[in-house]
Amino acid sequence: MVVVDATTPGEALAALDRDDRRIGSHLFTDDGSLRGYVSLFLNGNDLGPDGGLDENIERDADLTIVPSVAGG
Amino acid sequence: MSTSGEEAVRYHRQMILPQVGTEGQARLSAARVAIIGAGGLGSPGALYLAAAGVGHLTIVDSDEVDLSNLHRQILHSTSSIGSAKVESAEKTLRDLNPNVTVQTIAQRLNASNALDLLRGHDVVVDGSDNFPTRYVVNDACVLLGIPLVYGAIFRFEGQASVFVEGDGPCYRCLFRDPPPADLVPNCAEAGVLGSLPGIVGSIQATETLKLLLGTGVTLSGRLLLLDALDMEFRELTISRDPDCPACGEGKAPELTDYEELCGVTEQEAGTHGVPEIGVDVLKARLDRGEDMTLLDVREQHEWHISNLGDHGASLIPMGEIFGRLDEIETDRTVIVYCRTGQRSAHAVEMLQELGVDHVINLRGGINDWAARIDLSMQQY
Repeated sequence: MVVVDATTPGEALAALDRDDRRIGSHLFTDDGSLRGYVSLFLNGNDLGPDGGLDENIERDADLTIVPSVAGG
Repeated sequence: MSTSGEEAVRYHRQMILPQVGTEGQARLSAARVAIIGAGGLGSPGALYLAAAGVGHLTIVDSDEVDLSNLHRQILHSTSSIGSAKVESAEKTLRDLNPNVTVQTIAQRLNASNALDLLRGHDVVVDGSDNFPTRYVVNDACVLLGIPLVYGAIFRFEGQASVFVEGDGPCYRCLFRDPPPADLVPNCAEAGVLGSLPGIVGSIQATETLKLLLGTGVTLSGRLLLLDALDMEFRELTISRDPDCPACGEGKAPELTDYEELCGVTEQEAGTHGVPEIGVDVLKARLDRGEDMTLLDVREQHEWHISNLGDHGASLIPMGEIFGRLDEIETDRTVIVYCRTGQRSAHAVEMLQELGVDHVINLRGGINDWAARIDLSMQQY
């Protein structure tokens, strides 16, 4: 778990990207939208295909990044 | 003992459950379930469904049993190495429960055959090991209206859910598009704990039995995440996406093969966007005595299987590169290899980001070297 200061999911992910510059390319396309093989959940609830990047989030919110995996 | 008497004894412990009973057992016996993949997930899934008396199991897998499968794929055994997985599975399942009809399909599921192969089943269990199959299975289940029991694994982590059940979401509501292959390693590259698919596959079997029995609350609309390393389960809520390209309102997916998008060929996948050479070029360079740093980024146990130590290679596992950068002689060309060229492509990217200028990936990895240059070397 990583704690960041942010008021939206987009800001939270941008903060992660600042700490590890390789994360951003895995999460976002060149135009800044969430990649189709990553899902975001706010306090356990799906934020939808666009990731709700601009939604306001409250202090102590729990943002979960779930990548698709294919192993079987 | 008569057949019915044998079955009454065989299934007694579950038939005494009020949620099963004689009626539920008859439902299981009449049910048809398709299991996609007879690997890590398909193994426990198929075993438990056969043991429970699901009457018809269709097993779809185009692979053969390999020694490296056996630490997790418990349908198969050492004597099955080299056999078709579906044949090995059929033998194991018939031995476990001869009352079950096992249909074997030694094909890879694709856009051309998915509808025909899956039509007529009550539930589809996805135990496949690649994205192209997962997307075709999902879209076919949406078109056919068949519940899809999803499971996927990666290293120590697992995911499970139920898709296409009633008004619930489908796989593409959760993950709209497949990733390019070079961003997502498979089990062969990333590794997987042997017992992990046992947990996730058993969850899939449980959800399948509940769907067939019409009892309990399934994982539809929920994504179960397992972190086996810390042994933590988490549950997330998945919403149906009204604009989902597969199950969205007014949408009807056209089955598409995603091979091109996903780039399933590991050799191609590992080459994306980084400089690379093939094993024949490496051989020629070595024969010329060219000065180079040959870097193996696999794990120690893989080095013991095969290596290019005789050609001057040194081992620094992928996860140790950052901390051991000073051990890599970067004043000359660095050629990086792994098993198939996929991990090493990531290592090349990492080294480039760390400021190493002349770094090249070995396309096809040491397995391609073993296949084309040193035929005495073991592939795995």
